[in-house]
Amino acid sequence: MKLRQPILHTQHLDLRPIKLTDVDAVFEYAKDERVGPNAGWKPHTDKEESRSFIKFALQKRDFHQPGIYAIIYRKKNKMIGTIEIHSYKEFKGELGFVLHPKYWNKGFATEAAKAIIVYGFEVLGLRRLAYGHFLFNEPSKRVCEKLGFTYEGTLRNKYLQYNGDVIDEAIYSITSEDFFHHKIPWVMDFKKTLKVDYDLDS
Amino acid sequence: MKGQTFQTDRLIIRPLKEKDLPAVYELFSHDRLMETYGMNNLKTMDHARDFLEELIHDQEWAITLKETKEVIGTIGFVAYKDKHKRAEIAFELKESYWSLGYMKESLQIIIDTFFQTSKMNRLEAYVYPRNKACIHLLEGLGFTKEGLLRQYAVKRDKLEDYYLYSIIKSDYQT
Repeated sequence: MKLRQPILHTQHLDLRPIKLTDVDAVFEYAKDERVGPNAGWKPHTDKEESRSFIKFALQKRDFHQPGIYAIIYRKKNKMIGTIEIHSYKEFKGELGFVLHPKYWNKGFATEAAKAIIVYGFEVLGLRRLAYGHFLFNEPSKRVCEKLGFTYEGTLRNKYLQYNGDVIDEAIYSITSEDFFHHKIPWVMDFKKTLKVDYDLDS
Repeated sequence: MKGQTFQTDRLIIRPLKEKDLPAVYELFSHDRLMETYGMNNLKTMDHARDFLEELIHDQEWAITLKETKEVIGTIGFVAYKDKHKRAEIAFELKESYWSLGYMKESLQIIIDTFFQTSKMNRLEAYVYPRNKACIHLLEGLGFTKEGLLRQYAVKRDKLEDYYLYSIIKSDYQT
């Protein structure tokens, strides 16, 4: 049985499952040199790479993964990134997202991530949600601190970047206890603005 | 290095074989050992056979006493990722042989070979915070504690925290 992937509405954003027709929007930011390397992948040079990524993303739910959301900036009706809980296994998963650089520093990553965190604990029933960022990625670090993740450690030489660089990764988590026992300060207020739409859940 | 046999002062560490079934069953059905290892006890010989098959497939080793050839534990790599040049090490030793330096002797030769003969760069070990003996062992071998991973795995029907330890090539060389 597939995991649920309801549509999520926040103050500025709609999060809905990614579609093949998002290919132009994905390519627009995936070709940017500031984007992929922060997540360990090479910038796309051909729209076909963006298409293969979406095809791969669409298969995820067949392998009992929660699936990838497209982040839509409602005011412009524009797809500006993706967000997901990846590496899902029974009770745990890891938060990951990519955002068009034009929309950085506007709080959109944080806003989308909050919706996914609520979805992770309340819909998927997670007991642990991890967050990892490459050590050099300061903006990602700020996002996860704003979200209330607890720092757990830095994994030395954890990844080999596509260009041969050796990368350290900082690991954080939110546990179900953190989430449900009110240790994450934004949850109560945020939930008042969050709409979870199960009607279109495929 | 997988598939190789190693000799130390007191031990021969050789690839597991089908004939090790009774020894593997004894190790992995032992309640206290499995509690520290983090696995449900094997209940039947059939389970043990399937399990051993996996161990052989993953090219894990039997730790055997040079003198008597007795199998006293196993050691092997899990999550061996060539792409990122890292692996995780897993091991266990029969309770009656604890605290005699056998595990240290085994790990030392595996670590030496890992860094000296392979292109690998990082070796990880996950350990329960309550497993003081294993923590002492890892720290004595030069592993560094990187963090406490909270509610990281369900083992024996319980959510467990883990310390993540690692040793990287630059630690090893200094």
